[in-house]
Amino acid sequence: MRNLTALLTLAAFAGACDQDRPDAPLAENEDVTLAPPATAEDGFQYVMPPYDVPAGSEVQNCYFFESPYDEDICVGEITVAQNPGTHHMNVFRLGTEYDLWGDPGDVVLGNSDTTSPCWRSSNWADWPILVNSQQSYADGFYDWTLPDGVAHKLKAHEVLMLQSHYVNANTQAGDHAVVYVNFDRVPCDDIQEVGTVFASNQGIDVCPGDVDVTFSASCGNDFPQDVTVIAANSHFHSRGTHFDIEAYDPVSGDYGDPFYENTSWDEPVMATDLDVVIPEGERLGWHCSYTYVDPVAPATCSDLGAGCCYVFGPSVETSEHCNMFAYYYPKVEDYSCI
Amino acid sequence: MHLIARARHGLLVSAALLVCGCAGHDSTPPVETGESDCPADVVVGDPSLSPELEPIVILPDGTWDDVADGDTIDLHTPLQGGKVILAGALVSNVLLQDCGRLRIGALLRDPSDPDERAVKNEERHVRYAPMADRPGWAAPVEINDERNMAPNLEACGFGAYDRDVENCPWILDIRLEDSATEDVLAEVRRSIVPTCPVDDPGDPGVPQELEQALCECQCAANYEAGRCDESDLATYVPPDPVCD
Repeated sequence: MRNLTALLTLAAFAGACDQDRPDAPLAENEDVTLAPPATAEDGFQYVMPPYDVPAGSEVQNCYFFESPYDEDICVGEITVAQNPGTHHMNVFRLGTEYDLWGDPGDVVLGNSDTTSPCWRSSNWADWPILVNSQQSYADGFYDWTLPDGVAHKLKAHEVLMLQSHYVNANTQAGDHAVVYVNFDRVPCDDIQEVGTVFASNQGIDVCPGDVDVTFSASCGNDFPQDVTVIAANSHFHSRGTHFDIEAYDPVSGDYGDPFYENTSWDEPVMATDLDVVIPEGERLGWHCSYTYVDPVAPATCSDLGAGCCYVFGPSVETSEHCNMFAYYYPKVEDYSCI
Repeated sequence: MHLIARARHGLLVSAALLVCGCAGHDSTPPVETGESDCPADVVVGDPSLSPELEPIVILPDGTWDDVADGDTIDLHTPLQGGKVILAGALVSNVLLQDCGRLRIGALLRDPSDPDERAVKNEERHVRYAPMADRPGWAAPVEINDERNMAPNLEACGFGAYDRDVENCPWILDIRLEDSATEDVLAEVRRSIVPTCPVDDPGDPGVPQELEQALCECQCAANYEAGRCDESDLATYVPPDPVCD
Protein backbone atom coordinates (compact mmCIF):
# COMPACT_ATOMS: atom_id res chain seq x y z
CA MET A 1 0.00 0.00 0.00
CA ARG A 2 1.33 3.39 -0.90
CA ASN A 3 0.34 6.33 1.21
CA LEU A 4 -0.35 9.29 -0.93
CA THR A 5 -1.69 11.50 1.77
CA ALA A 6 0.53 14.34 0.72
CA LEU A 7 -0.67 14.09 -2.84
CA LEU A 8 -4.32 13.91 -2.08
CA THR A 9 -6.28 16.93 -3.01
CA LEU A 10 -9.32 16.61 -0.87
CA ALA A 11 -10.86 19.83 -1.96
CA ALA A 12 -13.27 19.76 0.87
CA PHE A 13 -14.51 23.24 0.57
CA ALA A 14 -14.56 26.15 -1.78
CA GLY A 15 -11.46 27.55 -3.31
CA ALA A 16 -9.77 24.41 -4.51
CA CYS A 17 -11.17 24.78 -7.96
CA ASP A 18 -12.82 27.86 -9.31
CA GLN A 19 -13.74 26.55 -12.71
CA ASP A 20 -17.33 26.00 -13.63
CA ARG A 21 -18.38 22.84 -15.31
CA PRO A 22 -17.24 22.86 -18.92
CA ASP A 23 -20.13 23.07 -21.33
CA ALA A 24 -18.18 22.29 -24.47
CA PRO A 25 -16.33 19.18 -25.61
CA LEU A 26 -12.89 18.79 -24.12
CA ALA A 27 -9.99 19.82 -26.28
CA GLU A 28 -7.27 17.30 -26.98
CA ASN A 29 -5.29 16.65 -23.81
CA GLU A 30 -7.70 18.79 -21.81
CA ASP A 31 -8.85 17.27 -18.55
CA VAL A 32 -12.33 17.46 -17.19
CA THR A 33 -12.86 19.72 -14.18
CA LEU A 34 -15.65 20.21 -11.70
CA ALA A 35 -16.14 23.13 -9.36
CA PRO A 36 -16.52 22.09 -5.72
CA PRO A 37 -19.48 23.02 -3.55
CA ALA A 38 -19.32 26.69 -2.68
CA THR A 39 -19.08 26.27 1.08
CA ALA A 40 -18.62 23.56 3.67
CA GLU A 41 -22.30 23.91 4.43
CA ASP A 42 -23.02 23.04 0.83
CA GLY A 43 -20.86 19.94 0.69
CA PHE A 44 -17.43 18.62 -0.11
CA GLN A 45 -15.47 17.41 -3.09
CA TYR A 46 -13.10 14.48 -3.55
CA VAL A 47 -10.49 14.83 -6.26
CA MET A 48 -8.85 11.58 -7.20
CA PRO A 49 -5.12 11.88 -7.82
CA PRO A 50 -4.86 11.59 -11.63
CA TYR A 51 -3.04 8.63 -13.10
CA ASP A 52 -1.87 7.58 -16.56
CA VAL A 53 -2.93 4.39 -18.25
CA PRO A 54 -0.23 2.93 -20.52
CA ALA A 55 -1.30 1.75 -23.95
CA GLY A 56 -2.53 -1.81 -23.92
CA SER A 57 -3.22 -1.87 -20.21
CA GLU A 58 -5.93 -1.61 -17.61
CA VAL A 59 -5.50 0.17 -14.29
CA GLN A 60 -7.77 -0.13 -11.27
CA ASN A 61 -6.84 1.84 -8.18
CA CYS A 62 -8.59 2.14 -4.83
CA TYR A 63 -8.44 5.49 -3.02
CA PHE A 64 -9.44 5.93 0.61
CA PHE A 65 -10.80 9.24 1.85
CA GLU A 66 -13.13 10.47 4.52
CA SER A 67 -16.02 12.79 5.07
CA PRO A 68 -14.32 15.96 6.34
CA TYR A 69 -17.03 16.78 8.87
CA ASP A 70 -17.03 16.39 12.65
CA GLU A 71 -20.73 15.60 12.49
CA ASP A 72 -22.97 13.21 10.63
CA ILE A 73 -24.19 14.71 7.37
CA CYS A 74 -26.80 13.97 4.73
CA VAL A 75 -25.98 13.96 1.01
CA GLY A 76 -28.79 14.82 -1.38
CA GLU A 77 -26.88 15.25 -4.63
CA ILE A 78 -23.80 13.59 -6.07
CA THR A 79 -22.02 14.91 -9.13
CA VAL A 80 -19.24 13.02 -10.89
CA ALA A 81 -16.88 14.21 -13.60
CA GLN A 82 -14.54 11.72 -15.24
CA ASN A 83 -12.14 11.99 -18.12
CA PRO A 84 -13.19 10.03 -21.21
CA GLY A 85 -12.28 6.35 -21.18
CA THR A 86 -13.42 5.51 -17.70
CA HIS A 87 -14.61 1.99 -17.28
CA HIS A 88 -16.13 2.51 -13.89
CA MET A 89 -15.99 4.52 -10.70
CA ASN A 90 -17.49 3.04 -7.56
CA VAL A 91 -17.57 4.67 -4.13
CA PHE A 92 -17.97 2.16 -1.30
CA ARG A 93 -18.41 2.42 2.42
CA LEU A 94 -15.96 0.20 4.26
CA GLY A 95 -16.98 -3.16 5.63
CA THR A 96 -15.03 -6.15 6.83
CA GLU A 97 -11.26 -5.87 6.45
CA TYR A 98 -10.20 -8.66 4.13
CA ASP A 99 -7.16 -7.99 1.94
CA LEU A 100 -8.24 -4.57 0.77
CA TRP A 101 -8.00 -1.85 3.39
CA GLY A 102 -6.76 1.65 3.90
CA ASP A 103 -6.80 4.77 5.98
CA PRO A 104 -7.82 8.13 4.56
CA GLY A 105 -5.16 9.15 2.06
CA ASP A 106 -4.07 5.63 1.24
CA VAL A 107 -4.24 4.22 -2.25
CA VAL A 108 -4.03 0.59 -3.26
CA LEU A 109 -2.77 0.30 -6.83
CA GLY A 110 -3.89 -2.43 -9.17
CA ASN A 111 -3.66 -3.47 -12.78
CA SER A 112 -4.32 -6.55 -14.83
CA ASP A 113 -0.79 -7.78 -14.26
CA THR A 114 -1.04 -7.87 -10.49
CA THR A 115 -2.85 -9.71 -7.79
CA SER A 116 -3.61 -6.47 -6.01
CA PRO A 117 -6.61 -6.68 -3.68
CA CYS A 118 -7.97 -3.64 -5.48
CA TRP A 119 -7.85 -5.51 -8.76
CA ARG A 120 -9.45 -8.60 -7.27
CA SER A 121 -12.00 -6.63 -5.26
CA SER A 122 -12.13 -9.61 -2.99
CA ASN A 123 -14.03 -8.01 -0.16
CA TRP A 124 -17.14 -6.66 -1.79
CA ALA A 125 -19.21 -8.97 0.34
CA ASP A 126 -20.20 -6.36 2.90
CA TRP A 127 -18.86 -3.08 1.53
CA PRO A 128 -22.01 -1.09 0.75
CA ILE A 129 -22.01 0.85 -2.48
CA LEU A 130 -22.61 4.59 -2.09
CA VAL A 131 -22.59 5.67 -5.73
CA ASN A 132 -21.35 4.27 -9.01
CA SER A 133 -20.80 5.69 -12.48
CA GLN A 134 -19.41 4.52 -15.78
CA GLN A 135 -20.18 7.82 -17.42
CA SER A 136 -17.36 9.95 -18.76
CA TYR A 137 -17.53 13.63 -19.58
CA ALA A 138 -18.17 12.78 -23.20
CA ASP A 139 -21.71 11.96 -22.10
CA GLY A 140 -22.06 14.98 -19.85
CA PHE A 141 -21.79 15.22 -16.12
CA TYR A 142 -23.26 12.59 -13.94
CA ASP A 143 -25.55 14.56 -11.69
CA TRP A 144 -27.72 12.53 -9.35
CA THR A 145 -30.16 14.57 -7.31
CA LEU A 146 -32.00 12.39 -4.85
CA PRO A 147 -35.75 12.93 -4.33
CA ASP A 148 -36.81 15.50 -1.76
CA GLY A 149 -36.54 14.07 1.73
CA VAL A 150 -34.26 11.23 0.68
CA ALA A 151 -30.50 11.21 1.25
CA HIS A 152 -27.39 9.20 1.91
CA LYS A 153 -26.19 9.59 5.47
CA LEU A 154 -22.47 9.81 6.21
CA LYS A 155 -21.11 9.51 9.71
CA ALA A 156 -18.60 12.04 11.00
CA HIS A 157 -15.29 11.33 9.29
CA GLU A 158 -16.70 8.16 7.74
CA VAL A 159 -14.07 6.55 5.57
CA LEU A 160 -14.99 5.83 1.97
CA MET A 161 -13.18 4.10 -0.86
CA LEU A 162 -13.27 5.23 -4.49
CA GLN A 163 -12.36 2.52 -6.97
CA SER A 164 -11.40 3.83 -10.41
CA HIS A 165 -10.91 1.59 -13.43
CA TYR A 166 -9.59 2.92 -16.74
CA VAL A 167 -8.85 0.88 -19.85
CA ASN A 168 -6.50 1.89 -22.66
CA ALA A 169 -6.70 -1.10 -24.95
CA ASN A 170 -9.03 -2.61 -27.53
CA THR A 171 -12.32 -2.17 -25.76
CA GLN A 172 -11.87 1.32 -24.35
CA ALA A 173 -9.33 4.09 -24.78
CA GLY A 174 -8.64 6.23 -21.77
CA ASP A 175 -5.02 7.16 -21.23
CA HIS A 176 -5.36 9.69 -18.42
CA ALA A 177 -7.65 9.11 -15.47
CA VAL A 178 -9.23 12.12 -13.80
CA VAL A 179 -12.17 11.85 -11.43
CA TYR A 180 -14.02 14.44 -9.36
CA VAL A 181 -16.92 13.69 -7.06
CA ASN A 182 -19.06 16.32 -5.34
CA PHE A 183 -21.15 15.38 -2.33
CA ASP A 184 -23.77 18.07 -1.83
CA ARG A 185 -25.40 18.29 1.55
CA VAL A 186 -29.04 18.60 2.49
CA PRO A 187 -30.45 19.12 5.99
CA CYS A 188 -30.88 15.88 7.89
CA ASP A 189 -34.28 16.84 9.30
CA ASP A 190 -36.96 14.29 8.43
CA ILE A 191 -34.70 12.51 5.99
CA GLN A 192 -35.36 8.98 4.79
CA GLU A 193 -32.04 7.25 4.32
CA VAL A 194 -31.05 5.53 1.08
CA GLY A 195 -30.39 1.81 1.16
CA THR A 196 -28.43 0.02 -1.53
CA VAL A 197 -28.33 -3.30 -3.31
CA PHE A 198 -25.12 -4.45 -4.95
CA ALA A 199 -25.24 -7.85 -6.60
CA SER A 200 -22.87 -9.79 -8.77
CA ASN A 201 -23.33 -13.13 -10.47
CA GLN A 202 -19.88 -14.68 -10.37
CA GLY A 203 -20.90 -17.98 -11.93
CA ILE A 204 -21.19 -16.68 -15.48
CA ASP A 205 -19.36 -17.93 -18.52
CA VAL A 206 -19.70 -16.87 -22.14
CA CYS A 207 -18.42 -19.51 -24.51
CA PRO A 208 -17.80 -19.82 -28.25
CA GLY A 209 -21.08 -19.95 -30.11
CA ASP A 210 -23.11 -18.28 -27.38
CA VAL A 211 -25.68 -15.80 -28.65
CA ASP A 212 -27.75 -13.87 -26.13
CA VAL A 213 -27.18 -16.37 -23.34
CA THR A 214 -28.79 -15.06 -20.20
CA PHE A 215 -28.02 -15.41 -16.50
CA SER A 216 -30.71 -14.45 -14.00
CA ALA A 217 -30.76 -14.32 -10.22
CA SER A 218 -32.22 -12.44 -7.30
CA CYS A 219 -30.48 -10.71 -4.45
CA GLY A 220 -30.97 -10.08 -0.81
CA ASN A 221 -33.45 -10.94 1.81
CA ASP A 222 -36.99 -10.06 1.01
CA PHE A 223 -37.89 -6.47 1.81
CA PRO A 224 -39.89 -6.45 5.07
CA GLN A 225 -41.89 -3.45 3.89
CA ASP A 226 -42.68 -1.64 0.68
CA VAL A 227 -39.63 0.22 -0.58
CA THR A 228 -39.12 2.59 -3.50
CA VAL A 229 -36.24 2.19 -5.93
CA ILE A 230 -34.99 5.62 -6.98
CA ALA A 231 -31.94 4.75 -9.06
CA ALA A 232 -30.28 1.79 -10.72
CA ASN A 233 -27.30 0.93 -12.81
CA SER A 234 -25.66 -2.07 -14.42
CA HIS A 235 -22.21 -3.27 -15.29
CA PHE A 236 -20.88 -5.80 -17.72
CA HIS A 237 -18.14 -5.90 -20.35
CA SER A 238 -18.10 -5.83 -24.13
CA ARG A 239 -19.79 -9.19 -24.66
CA GLY A 240 -22.80 -7.85 -22.77
CA THR A 241 -25.86 -7.26 -24.93
CA HIS A 242 -28.72 -6.65 -22.53
CA PHE A 243 -29.16 -6.01 -18.83
CA ASP A 244 -32.38 -5.58 -16.90
CA ILE A 245 -33.51 -5.24 -13.30
CA GLU A 246 -36.92 -6.05 -11.91
CA ALA A 247 -38.78 -7.22 -8.80
CA TYR A 248 -38.62 -10.91 -7.97
CA ASP A 249 -41.39 -12.81 -6.21
CA PRO A 250 -39.78 -15.54 -4.08
CA VAL A 251 -43.10 -17.35 -3.68
CA SER A 252 -43.97 -17.76 -7.34
CA GLY A 253 -40.37 -17.63 -8.49
CA ASP A 254 -41.30 -15.13 -11.19
CA TYR A 255 -39.61 -11.91 -12.24
CA GLY A 256 -41.68 -8.79 -12.81
CA ASP A 257 -41.45 -6.43 -15.75
CA PRO A 258 -38.08 -4.67 -15.95
CA PHE A 259 -37.90 -1.16 -14.56
CA TYR A 260 -34.32 -0.76 -15.76
CA GLU A 261 -32.88 -1.88 -19.09
CA ASN A 262 -29.51 -1.26 -20.66
CA THR A 263 -27.84 -2.34 -23.89
CA SER A 264 -24.75 -0.12 -23.72
CA TRP A 265 -21.93 -2.01 -22.10
CA ASP A 266 -19.38 0.82 -21.98
CA GLU A 267 -21.46 3.88 -21.13
CA PRO A 268 -24.56 2.72 -19.28
CA VAL A 269 -26.33 5.79 -18.07
CA MET A 270 -27.49 5.44 -14.51
CA ALA A 271 -31.25 5.68 -14.17
CA THR A 272 -31.80 8.36 -11.54
CA ASP A 273 -35.44 9.19 -12.03
CA LEU A 274 -36.99 5.92 -10.93
CA ASP A 275 -39.98 5.74 -8.61
CA VAL A 276 -40.59 2.01 -8.48
CA VAL A 277 -42.30 0.42 -5.50
CA ILE A 278 -41.08 -3.06 -4.59
CA PRO A 279 -43.81 -4.70 -2.51
CA GLU A 280 -43.17 -6.12 0.92
CA GLY A 281 -41.95 -9.68 0.63
CA GLU A 282 -40.32 -9.25 -2.76
CA ARG A 283 -36.71 -8.52 -3.68
CA LEU A 284 -34.68 -7.42 -6.69
CA GLY A 285 -33.70 -9.65 -9.57
CA TRP A 286 -31.51 -9.04 -12.57
CA HIS A 287 -30.71 -10.54 -15.97
CA CYS A 288 -27.40 -10.34 -17.87
CA SER A 289 -27.24 -11.41 -21.53
CA TYR A 290 -24.13 -11.93 -23.65
CA THR A 291 -23.05 -12.79 -27.15
CA TYR A 292 -19.63 -14.32 -27.65
CA VAL A 293 -16.93 -12.56 -29.63
CA ASP A 294 -13.40 -13.78 -30.23
CA PRO A 295 -10.69 -12.38 -27.98
CA VAL A 296 -8.93 -9.49 -29.67
CA ALA A 297 -5.13 -9.58 -29.99
CA PRO A 298 -2.96 -9.45 -28.05
CA ALA A 299 -5.44 -11.40 -25.91
CA THR A 300 -5.75 -15.06 -26.82
CA CYS A 301 -7.76 -17.98 -25.57
CA SER A 302 -5.00 -18.67 -23.06
CA ASP A 303 -5.97 -15.42 -21.32
CA LEU A 304 -9.57 -16.57 -20.98
CA GLY A 305 -11.15 -19.45 -19.13
CA ALA A 306 -11.08 -23.03 -20.28
CA GLY A 307 -12.86 -23.59 -23.56
CA CYS A 308 -11.95 -20.03 -24.57
CA CYS A 309 -14.85 -18.87 -22.42
CA TYR A 310 -15.10 -15.49 -20.77
CA VAL A 311 -15.65 -16.00 -17.07
CA PHE A 312 -16.21 -13.61 -14.20
CA GLY A 313 -13.30 -11.25 -13.64
CA PRO A 314 -12.14 -7.63 -13.57
CA SER A 315 -10.35 -7.48 -16.92
CA VAL A 316 -12.49 -5.76 -19.52
CA GLU A 317 -10.46 -7.34 -22.28
CA THR A 318 -10.59 -10.94 -21.16
CA SER A 319 -13.40 -11.46 -18.66
CA GLU A 320 -16.98 -10.52 -17.91
CA HIS A 321 -19.07 -9.05 -15.16
CA CYS A 322 -22.76 -9.21 -14.26
CA ASN A 323 -23.21 -6.54 -11.60
CA MET A 324 -26.41 -4.85 -10.50
CA PHE A 325 -26.65 -1.63 -8.49
CA ALA A 326 -29.87 -0.29 -7.02
CA TYR A 327 -30.69 2.51 -4.60
CA TYR A 328 -33.91 2.61 -2.60
CA TYR A 329 -35.66 4.08 0.42
CA PRO A 330 -36.47 3.78 3.24
CA LYS A 331 -33.30 1.94 4.09
CA VAL A 332 -33.69 -1.51 5.59
CA GLU A 333 -30.08 -2.43 5.16
CA ASP A 334 -27.41 -2.40 2.48
CA TYR A 335 -27.62 -5.68 0.64
CA SER A 336 -24.67 -7.33 -1.04
CA CYS A 337 -25.07 -10.46 -3.09
CA ILE A 338 -21.78 -11.65 -4.45
CA MET B 1 -28.90 -41.80 0.79
CA HIS B 2 -25.58 -40.04 0.41
CA LEU B 3 -25.13 -39.36 -3.24
CA ILE B 4 -21.40 -39.64 -3.19
CA ALA B 5 -21.84 -43.38 -2.92
CA ARG B 6 -24.17 -43.62 -5.88
CA ALA B 7 -23.34 -44.42 -9.44
CA ARG B 8 -22.05 -41.43 -11.32
CA HIS B 9 -22.68 -40.42 -14.86
CA GLY B 10 -21.16 -38.06 -17.29
CA LEU B 11 -19.20 -40.19 -19.71
CA LEU B 12 -20.92 -38.39 -22.53
CA VAL B 13 -19.26 -35.13 -21.76
CA SER B 14 -16.23 -35.79 -23.93
CA ALA B 15 -18.28 -36.94 -26.83
CA ALA B 16 -20.58 -34.00 -26.51
CA LEU B 17 -17.66 -31.61 -26.55
CA LEU B 18 -16.42 -33.14 -29.76
CA VAL B 19 -19.82 -32.66 -31.28
CA CYS B 20 -19.85 -29.09 -30.08
CA GLY B 21 -16.37 -28.40 -31.35
CA CYS B 22 -15.41 -26.66 -28.13
CA ALA B 23 -12.03 -26.76 -26.50
CA GLY B 24 -12.84 -28.48 -23.21
CA HIS B 25 -10.24 -27.91 -20.54
CA ASP B 26 -7.37 -27.12 -22.92
CA SER B 27 -7.59 -23.37 -23.20
CA THR B 28 -4.48 -22.69 -25.22
CA PRO B 29 -5.48 -23.13 -28.87
CA PRO B 30 -7.58 -20.41 -30.46
CA VAL B 31 -11.09 -21.60 -31.05
CA GLU B 32 -13.10 -21.17 -34.19
CA THR B 33 -16.12 -19.40 -32.87
CA GLY B 34 -19.64 -18.52 -33.85
CA GLU B 35 -22.72 -20.50 -34.59
CA SER B 36 -20.80 -22.73 -37.00
CA ASP B 37 -19.24 -24.38 -33.96
CA CYS B 38 -22.57 -25.53 -32.74
CA PRO B 39 -24.18 -28.86 -33.52
CA ALA B 40 -27.19 -29.05 -35.77
CA ASP B 41 -30.61 -28.86 -34.20
CA VAL B 42 -31.69 -32.21 -32.84
CA VAL B 43 -34.91 -33.58 -31.40
CA VAL B 44 -34.58 -35.41 -28.11
CA GLY B 45 -37.54 -37.58 -27.23
CA ASP B 46 -40.93 -36.56 -28.53
CA PRO B 47 -41.45 -32.77 -28.60
CA SER B 48 -45.16 -33.35 -29.05
CA LEU B 49 -45.21 -34.53 -25.46
CA SER B 50 -44.65 -32.36 -22.42
CA PRO B 51 -40.98 -31.90 -21.54
CA GLU B 52 -39.68 -34.10 -18.75
CA LEU B 53 -36.97 -33.35 -16.21
CA GLU B 54 -34.90 -35.53 -13.93
CA PRO B 55 -33.06 -33.49 -11.26
CA ILE B 56 -29.32 -33.91 -10.94
CA VAL B 57 -26.52 -32.29 -8.98
CA ILE B 58 -23.22 -31.63 -10.70
CA LEU B 59 -20.08 -32.99 -9.08
CA PRO B 60 -16.66 -31.33 -9.07
CA ASP B 61 -15.36 -33.63 -11.79
CA GLY B 62 -18.15 -32.69 -14.19
CA THR B 63 -20.14 -35.87 -13.66
CA TRP B 64 -23.48 -35.84 -11.92
CA ASP B 65 -25.75 -37.68 -9.54
CA ASP B 66 -29.47 -38.15 -9.77
CA VAL B 67 -31.48 -36.52 -7.00
CA ALA B 68 -34.24 -38.51 -5.35
CA ASP B 69 -36.62 -37.14 -2.77
CA GLY B 70 -34.90 -36.88 0.61
CA ASP B 71 -31.39 -37.25 -0.77
CA THR B 72 -28.40 -35.73 0.91
CA ILE B 73 -26.39 -33.71 -1.59
CA ASP B 74 -22.86 -32.41 -1.42
CA LEU B 75 -22.23 -28.69 -1.35
CA HIS B 76 -19.76 -27.44 -3.92
CA THR B 77 -16.97 -24.89 -3.56
CA PRO B 78 -17.00 -22.31 -6.37
CA LEU B 79 -14.05 -20.17 -7.37
CA GLN B 80 -15.31 -17.19 -5.41
CA GLY B 81 -15.55 -19.12 -2.16
CA GLY B 82 -18.59 -20.00 -0.10
CA LYS B 83 -20.65 -23.00 -1.06
CA VAL B 84 -23.06 -23.50 -3.92
CA ILE B 85 -25.43 -26.19 -5.07
CA LEU B 86 -25.02 -26.98 -8.73
CA ALA B 87 -28.49 -28.28 -9.43
CA GLY B 88 -29.86 -28.98 -12.88
CA ALA B 89 -31.61 -31.67 -14.82
CA LEU B 90 -31.59 -34.26 -17.53
CA VAL B 91 -34.25 -33.38 -20.09
CA SER B 92 -36.50 -35.19 -22.51
CA ASN B 93 -39.05 -34.26 -25.16
CA VAL B 94 -37.28 -31.11 -26.26
CA LEU B 95 -35.78 -29.64 -29.40
CA LEU B 96 -32.10 -28.78 -28.93
CA GLN B 97 -31.32 -25.72 -31.01
CA ASP B 98 -29.28 -22.56 -30.71
CA CYS B 99 -26.15 -24.52 -29.87
CA GLY B 100 -28.14 -26.91 -27.70
CA ARG B 101 -29.04 -24.25 -25.17
CA LEU B 102 -31.91 -24.68 -22.76
CA ARG B 103 -32.89 -22.25 -20.03
CA ILE B 104 -32.74 -24.09 -16.72
CA GLY B 105 -33.78 -22.63 -13.38
CA ALA B 106 -33.17 -23.77 -9.82
CA LEU B 107 -34.83 -22.49 -6.65
CA LEU B 108 -33.86 -23.33 -3.09
CA ARG B 109 -37.00 -23.05 -0.99
CA ASP B 110 -37.42 -22.96 2.77
CA PRO B 111 -39.82 -25.71 3.91
CA SER B 112 -40.19 -24.08 7.31
CA ASP B 113 -41.73 -20.99 5.72
CA PRO B 114 -45.53 -21.10 5.31
CA ASP B 115 -45.14 -19.92 1.73
CA GLU B 116 -42.03 -22.03 1.09
CA ARG B 117 -40.29 -18.93 -0.17
CA ALA B 118 -37.21 -19.28 -2.32
CA VAL B 119 -34.14 -18.07 -0.45
CA LYS B 120 -32.04 -18.36 -3.56
CA ASN B 121 -32.61 -18.84 -7.26
CA GLU B 122 -30.72 -18.76 -10.50
CA GLU B 123 -31.67 -19.34 -14.11
CA ARG B 124 -29.23 -19.74 -16.96
CA HIS B 125 -28.76 -21.10 -20.44
CA VAL B 126 -27.09 -24.51 -20.29
CA ARG B 127 -25.82 -26.45 -23.29
CA TYR B 128 -27.20 -29.92 -23.77
CA ALA B 129 -26.33 -32.89 -25.95
CA PRO B 130 -28.18 -36.17 -26.52
CA MET B 131 -27.18 -39.01 -24.21
CA ALA B 132 -25.72 -41.94 -26.10
CA ASP B 133 -26.67 -44.43 -23.41
CA ARG B 134 -30.18 -43.16 -22.91
CA PRO B 135 -32.12 -42.49 -26.10
CA GLY B 136 -34.65 -39.72 -25.84
CA TRP B 137 -32.78 -37.83 -23.13
CA ALA B 138 -30.20 -35.05 -23.11
CA ALA B 139 -27.58 -34.12 -20.55
CA PRO B 140 -25.69 -30.89 -19.82
CA VAL B 141 -22.34 -30.33 -21.50
CA GLU B 142 -19.26 -29.06 -19.70
CA ILE B 143 -17.54 -26.37 -21.75
CA ASN B 144 -15.65 -24.15 -19.34
CA ASP B 145 -15.99 -26.05 -16.10
CA GLU B 146 -18.65 -27.92 -14.19
CA ARG B 147 -20.29 -24.70 -13.04
CA ASN B 148 -21.77 -24.05 -16.46
CA MET B 149 -23.63 -27.36 -16.42
CA ALA B 150 -26.38 -26.13 -14.11
CA PRO B 151 -27.64 -23.11 -12.19
CA ASN B 152 -25.39 -22.07 -9.34
CA LEU B 153 -27.40 -21.74 -6.15
CA GLU B 154 -25.42 -19.69 -3.66
CA ALA B 155 -26.08 -21.65 -0.50
CA CYS B 156 -23.46 -20.74 2.12
CA GLY B 157 -21.24 -17.79 2.82
CA PHE B 158 -23.19 -15.35 0.68
CA GLY B 159 -26.30 -14.34 2.54
CA ALA B 160 -27.91 -14.65 5.91
CA TYR B 161 -30.56 -17.31 6.10
CA ASP B 162 -32.10 -17.72 9.52
CA ARG B 163 -31.71 -21.49 9.46
CA ASP B 164 -28.78 -23.76 8.73
CA VAL B 165 -28.12 -24.87 5.20
CA GLU B 166 -26.12 -27.94 6.14
CA ASN B 167 -27.97 -30.96 7.49
CA CYS B 168 -31.38 -29.30 7.30
CA PRO B 169 -34.11 -30.18 4.82
CA TRP B 170 -34.66 -27.77 1.95
CA ILE B 171 -36.82 -27.85 -1.13
CA LEU B 172 -35.16 -27.89 -4.53
CA ASP B 173 -37.22 -26.88 -7.55
CA ILE B 174 -35.78 -27.40 -11.02
CA ARG B 175 -37.40 -25.71 -13.99
CA LEU B 176 -37.17 -25.79 -17.74
CA GLU B 177 -38.14 -22.38 -19.05
CA ASP B 178 -38.90 -20.99 -22.47
CA SER B 179 -35.74 -19.19 -23.54
CA ALA B 180 -37.59 -16.15 -24.77
CA THR B 181 -40.59 -15.76 -22.49
CA GLU B 182 -39.24 -17.51 -19.40
CA ASP B 183 -42.54 -19.34 -19.09
CA VAL B 184 -42.12 -22.52 -17.06
CA LEU B 185 -42.37 -25.50 -19.42
CA ALA B 186 -41.68 -28.20 -16.85
CA GLU B 187 -40.86 -28.29 -13.15
CA VAL B 188 -39.87 -30.94 -10.64
CA ARG B 189 -39.45 -30.73 -6.88
CA ARG B 190 -37.26 -32.65 -4.49
CA SER B 191 -36.63 -32.48 -0.77
CA ILE B 192 -32.89 -32.35 -0.19
CA VAL B 193 -30.45 -32.16 2.69
CA PRO B 194 -27.27 -30.27 1.76
CA THR B 195 -24.12 -31.47 3.47
CA CYS B 196 -20.46 -30.55 3.67
CA PRO B 197 -18.57 -33.19 1.68
CA VAL B 198 -15.74 -35.03 3.36
CA ASP B 199 -13.60 -35.00 0.23
CA ASP B 200 -14.33 -31.51 -1.06
CA PRO B 201 -11.53 -30.23 -3.30
CA GLY B 202 -12.43 -27.03 -1.59
CA ASP B 203 -10.93 -23.62 -1.37
CA PRO B 204 -7.23 -23.76 -2.27
CA GLY B 205 -6.60 -21.01 0.23
CA VAL B 206 -7.82 -23.09 3.16
CA PRO B 207 -5.87 -26.02 4.67
CA GLN B 208 -7.62 -29.31 4.06
CA GLU B 209 -7.99 -30.03 7.76
CA LEU B 210 -10.04 -26.86 8.12
CA GLU B 211 -12.33 -27.47 5.16
CA GLN B 212 -15.06 -29.14 7.19
CA ALA B 213 -15.03 -26.42 9.84
CA LEU B 214 -15.11 -23.72 7.16
CA CYS B 215 -18.07 -25.33 5.45
CA GLU B 216 -19.97 -25.84 8.70
CA CYS B 217 -19.27 -22.26 9.74
CA GLN B 218 -20.32 -20.78 6.40
CA CYS B 219 -23.47 -22.89 6.29
CA ALA B 220 -24.68 -22.18 9.82
CA ALA B 221 -27.65 -19.87 10.25
CA ASN B 222 -27.30 -16.09 10.08
CA TYR B 223 -23.95 -15.96 8.32
CA GLU B 224 -22.07 -12.67 8.38
CA ALA B 225 -18.97 -11.71 6.43
CA GLY B 226 -15.84 -12.26 8.47
CA ARG B 227 -17.42 -14.90 10.69
CA CYS B 228 -15.35 -17.76 9.35
CA ASP B 229 -11.84 -16.36 9.33
CA GLU B 230 -9.19 -19.05 9.03
CA SER B 231 -7.65 -18.05 12.35
CA ASP B 232 -10.85 -19.03 14.13
CA LEU B 233 -11.55 -22.29 12.32
CA ALA B 234 -9.16 -24.53 14.26
CA THR B 235 -11.23 -23.99 17.38
CA TYR B 236 -14.59 -23.62 15.68
CA VAL B 237 -17.44 -25.28 17.53
CA PRO B 238 -20.62 -25.52 15.49
CA PRO B 239 -23.64 -23.94 17.19
CA ASP B 240 -26.72 -25.97 17.91
CA PRO B 241 -28.52 -26.91 14.71
CA VAL B 242 -31.21 -24.50 13.54
CA CYS B 243 -33.55 -26.17 11.09
CA ASP B 244 -36.93 -24.77 12.07
